[in-house]
Amino acid sequence: MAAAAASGPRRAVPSAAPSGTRSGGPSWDELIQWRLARGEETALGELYDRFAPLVHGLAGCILDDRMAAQQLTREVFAHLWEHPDSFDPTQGSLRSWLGALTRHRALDRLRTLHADDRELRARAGAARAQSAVAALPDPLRETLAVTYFDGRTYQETALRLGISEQDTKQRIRLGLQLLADQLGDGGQGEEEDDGGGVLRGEDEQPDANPAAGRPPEAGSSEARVCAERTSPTHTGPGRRETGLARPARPHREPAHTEFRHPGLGPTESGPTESGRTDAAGAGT
Amino acid sequence: MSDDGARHESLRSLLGVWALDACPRREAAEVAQHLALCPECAREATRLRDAAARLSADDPLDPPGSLRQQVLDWCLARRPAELPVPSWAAPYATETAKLDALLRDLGPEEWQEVAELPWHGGVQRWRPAQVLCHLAAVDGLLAPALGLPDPVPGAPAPLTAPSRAPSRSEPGPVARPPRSGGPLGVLERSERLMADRAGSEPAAVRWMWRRQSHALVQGAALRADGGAPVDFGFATVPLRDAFLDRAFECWIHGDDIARAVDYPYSPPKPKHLRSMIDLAARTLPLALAALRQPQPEPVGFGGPPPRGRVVRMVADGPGGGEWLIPLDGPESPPDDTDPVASMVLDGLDFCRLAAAHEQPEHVLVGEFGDRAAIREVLRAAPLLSRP
Repeated sequence: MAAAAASGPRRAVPSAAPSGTRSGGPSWDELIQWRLARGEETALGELYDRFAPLVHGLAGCILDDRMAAQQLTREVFAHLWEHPDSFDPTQGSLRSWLGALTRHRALDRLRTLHADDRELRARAGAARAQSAVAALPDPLRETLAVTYFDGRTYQETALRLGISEQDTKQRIRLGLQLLADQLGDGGQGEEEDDGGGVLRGEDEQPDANPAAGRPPEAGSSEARVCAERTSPTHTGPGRRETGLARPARPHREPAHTEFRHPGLGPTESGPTESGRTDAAGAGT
Repeated sequence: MSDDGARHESLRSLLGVWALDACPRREAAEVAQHLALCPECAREATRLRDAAARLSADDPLDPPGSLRQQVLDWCLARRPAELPVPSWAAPYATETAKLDALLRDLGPEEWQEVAELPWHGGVQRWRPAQVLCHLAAVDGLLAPALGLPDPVPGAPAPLTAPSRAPSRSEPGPVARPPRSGGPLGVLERSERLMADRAGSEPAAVRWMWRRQSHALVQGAALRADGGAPVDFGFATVPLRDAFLDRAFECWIHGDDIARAVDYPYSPPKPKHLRSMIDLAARTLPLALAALRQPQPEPVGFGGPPPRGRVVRMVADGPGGGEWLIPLDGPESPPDDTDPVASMVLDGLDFCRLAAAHEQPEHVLVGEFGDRAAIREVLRAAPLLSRP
């Protein structure tokens, strides 16, 4: 349960740098946790850079309030900074964990504000979907976003992302399967977290493919399925703090990622997305 | 596999895109036909349709740029860092994060825009990914001092390449007078890294740059001696100044990219801006010396060249302050030297001037005293710029 993960018993964080429990060495998640535990300010900055769009985007989606979303973002990062050992890398990815923590806290806040049970339930349901989407691996989320929100055919998406049509079909099918898994049978009104509200473990796996030529940190597009709804005429008013209207924001540069998932083809077991891709990136 | 089996597999692979309404009409019709006959696919199709229906079109808020510092401050107030970022590396950490947030929003078309990077010797025209190569190549000069690898393939570090065309001479902040060492590879390093990364996705280039900038800040926090020498080729400077220099350039070029894609880009926070102004102000005497080199005799004066003059510069606005600029040589004149002139200008204008992003004649300057001395300062400032 994400709630338990967030407030569960403290695990000891080793004083030596994690060596990794798998053949590929420590994952990015494990390393950052270790660095947070030993009080590296730079680790806090890197954590923010990678996950702020996820945390802030999710908080904003649920709370629908700019100031409250910022406040919650502060609290979520402060929680991990103060209690780095509350995250357990063996239970899932840091991305999933932060998504779950954010959703829980946001819903808690909503509960104190809303007497209206119906609205709360509706938002909780939406939040579940949001965080499930937000926790999708980047290539899946990106492919879904481009296809769905731009109303493209998969052939157009493939062209745009520079991937094969076959990969496009696979990614979309897999993305929706993962979403369906996470959203389960709970239905729209489901409020309680079943611990699977966000994807676990395997969700980061596809990026673990060392052939993945993309930056792991393309985490940049966290929660972008809901962000990337652009149309040729969409000018995204107020996107920026300055409130300046900008031209339609096209999608980020795609990754030419050879994409594999246990369910859809040969896969490699290995550390999480980030650890492996980091290692791959080191040589570049 | 039988024909039927193959057809089943092929239609099955379409279920995801079918659920998203992303099939061309003909394929969609084939899927629909198949679903009527195949309960297995029908079950999956329903499931995927339901999942697709949960996708929300809500537009989430991007984190505002100011939030990063707020979050870090909030966290650090609750638990101080055992391994803090040194104050001289903080502007670089902040500026690189700001640029990265801009890059996150660039779409494929925007990565193809061409940014203009003026400097006193001309204008470079580069795409955002090339600008990142340039930043990474020069940032890489700090790497040896921190035990990190140089990103530029085959580049000796510290660099000792011969000078290129004289027009490319780069005084640069903290420079020795130019023409002595020549332009040393800042451009050459950049071009080499650009060539090396020419086939890379912009996202990969961004990651390469970001990864190094994170590593540099981490190196600064973990093991840095702010006085460690960094060889820029044309000058050797202490690491703490090198970080400031890189923060300054990251801001200026981030702004160049932002202009190219028509996004807003905020100036550094006042405290950081002040340290950048300070670096430029401290370096001005070298640029003044460079300015004077071709014409050793000041125009309009008989008699011996003036010595030991000082101009008081007041930078206005956030991050502003007051600096005494020695005009006739880098050595600081005695503290009680009376300035021959005072000049007041906006701190941001001064930075843009020093980056050759503004013409001396276009900057609004309050002048008191020896105007010729002030002109000299204004003409020298752009010489601090590099590509």
